[in-house]
Amino acid sequence: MTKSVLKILVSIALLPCLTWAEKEKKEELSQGQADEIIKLVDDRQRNSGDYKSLVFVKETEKNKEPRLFQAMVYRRDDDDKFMILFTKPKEEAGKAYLKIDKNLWNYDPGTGKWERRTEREKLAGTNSRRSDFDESRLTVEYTTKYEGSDKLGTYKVYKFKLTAKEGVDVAYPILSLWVDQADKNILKREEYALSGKLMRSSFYPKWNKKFSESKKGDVWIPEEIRIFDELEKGNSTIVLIKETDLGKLEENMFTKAWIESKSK
Amino acid sequence: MNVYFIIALRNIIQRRVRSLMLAGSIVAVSVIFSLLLALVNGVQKTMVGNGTALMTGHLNIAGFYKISQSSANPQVTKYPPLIKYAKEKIPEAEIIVDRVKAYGKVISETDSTMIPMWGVGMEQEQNVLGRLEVVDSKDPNHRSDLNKLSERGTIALFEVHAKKLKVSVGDMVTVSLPTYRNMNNTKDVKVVAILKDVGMMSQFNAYLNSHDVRELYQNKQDSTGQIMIYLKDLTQLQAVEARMRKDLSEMGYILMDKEANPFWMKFDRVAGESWTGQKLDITTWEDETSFLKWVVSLLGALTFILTIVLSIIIVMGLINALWMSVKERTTEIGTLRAIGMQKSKVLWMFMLESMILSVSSTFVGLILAAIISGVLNAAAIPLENDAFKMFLMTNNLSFNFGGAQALITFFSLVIFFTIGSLIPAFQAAKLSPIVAINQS
Repeated sequence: MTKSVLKILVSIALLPCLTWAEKEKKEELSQGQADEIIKLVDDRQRNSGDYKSLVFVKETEKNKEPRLFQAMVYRRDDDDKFMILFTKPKEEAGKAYLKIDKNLWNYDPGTGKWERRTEREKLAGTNSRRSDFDESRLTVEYTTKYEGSDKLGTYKVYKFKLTAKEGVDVAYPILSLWVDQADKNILKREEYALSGKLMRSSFYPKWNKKFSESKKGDVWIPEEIRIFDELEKGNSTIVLIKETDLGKLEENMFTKAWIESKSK
Repeated sequence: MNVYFIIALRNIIQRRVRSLMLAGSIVAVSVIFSLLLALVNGVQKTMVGNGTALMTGHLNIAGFYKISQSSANPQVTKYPPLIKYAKEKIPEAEIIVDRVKAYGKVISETDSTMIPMWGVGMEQEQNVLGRLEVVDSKDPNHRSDLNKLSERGTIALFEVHAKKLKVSVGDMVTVSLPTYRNMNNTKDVKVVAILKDVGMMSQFNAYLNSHDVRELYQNKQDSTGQIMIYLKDLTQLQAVEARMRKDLSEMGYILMDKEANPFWMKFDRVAGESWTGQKLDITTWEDETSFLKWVVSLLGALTFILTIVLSIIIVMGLINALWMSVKERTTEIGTLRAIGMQKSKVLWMFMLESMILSVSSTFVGLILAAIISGVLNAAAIPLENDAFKMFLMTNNLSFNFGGAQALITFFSLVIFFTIGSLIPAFQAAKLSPIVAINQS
């Protein structure tokens, strides 16, 4: 009798622990599941067709006046073409980047010259990169390791560590991602240097959903990205992506001639 | 001849006040011209000295390695055979060092700055980088010591960068740069030395341990930025360069076409070319510092303009003085012409007067300039203004007064002033004896 009572009492005492352990077990992901989630993150942002958006970039540097940029971003994801045409401020207006094949070109209307740039360089002196406006290619470029569940404010998130695949050139070889458990959108991204030093932290507080004819499904687009420079504390960039249009673009847009005609 | 000389000399003495004023002016122009030339030479000498310590050898075996058609990495891969070649086949070489090139951001707690950097091996650099002066630290535990660059995780900065970053010896900074595959990489390094600024060139240089730079770029140990060769005798530069080009071509290396520009001005050209792999670029110190030539050219042009303006003023005074002399001595000229002196002799007499004045005054001016240069160099007058320091590429005023420069000054001023005296001399020679005598 005493033994049975003791058993029941111990069971009652351990019940919350067992429930917690069961819950934790539920949140544990296998490698396959982790890969699947990252693939889903990519898929949700994939458009597979044409893309146009109006982008505002606010660049804040320590001890300097913030700078505001306005640009149009054009993409043709099928052909991996990308173009960004700055429209404001006046001194930046007409400057553009154009990606054709594996080359990224920069156009300066002041000199009328095209210069080849590295794909992973910062755009127009801001802390944003081409990849910030491009399709998500996490599955192609990185291998995923699940690092457990976490909470980001009120959001329940999965935390992943991504390491660049051998032979793939990326700006940051190590990433930490916090993915919303509910809708599988990225909420936070940390980017690390080869040395392991944290270089940028980005937050994605707002996501926007658009129907894509080419994909025949919804495409998730971050509406706001807040990028914090972790090396130079105090430097930050806010990117606002507005007026996204997934309709068909002109056929001959992704050419140097088109940019030059718009830069006049 | 002797008679004309005596007449000219007597005339100078007779009109001593006017002559002294003219002589004084010529002396002043001579001193100013000489000092300015000495300053230009000083800047040029400083440029060679600093340039060859900071960023270039007298001759360099540099080059680009392209991992893809659009890349342009300023590096020399598999460099040990090239070092061996330089040591064995260039007996004219006095010092041979290699440095790894880097370009990245140096970040402190308070600020950041982009700096071209060099990865150095201090064991080879005693007679090169070791020539630079370090800023004395007030903290005895954190003395500036360039030799500590031989330790990993260290950096030496010039004052200009240390001030901007607000760091001193012992502080940590982060070096951040993209590798040649454009992956971001960083390294925390300790400031071990702060170097005294050497004008404009300080802006373009900082020094790290060469192994750290290779680690940052993920480069192999047998790659470097450039092999810097210092010659015993700089006059052999062109001959050695030509020989090196021939030898290296014969050894199977592909050489870039000669372009008299520093390596960083060749990035666009190289990135636009379709080849991949390694090409060597043989450069001289003049090529690598050519972007600073404008300073010397500008100083030279300013010297020339100033001297011309001053000389014209002096020549006007000289013409005026000789003109007055002609007027005062009209009777004398008439008499001399009446007793048979030819026009050419009258012309010669007046020119001789001007020549005596300009030769003696320019000579005195040169001696004074030499003395003043010596005194100013000994005083090592520090330049307080940062703009001047940057422009003149030195912390102290430095004058280099040489024999060749003295000869140039002497002959150019004497010829200029003598030619200036031709107008009144012709006027005197043209006088008719009757008219001249009657004017009295």
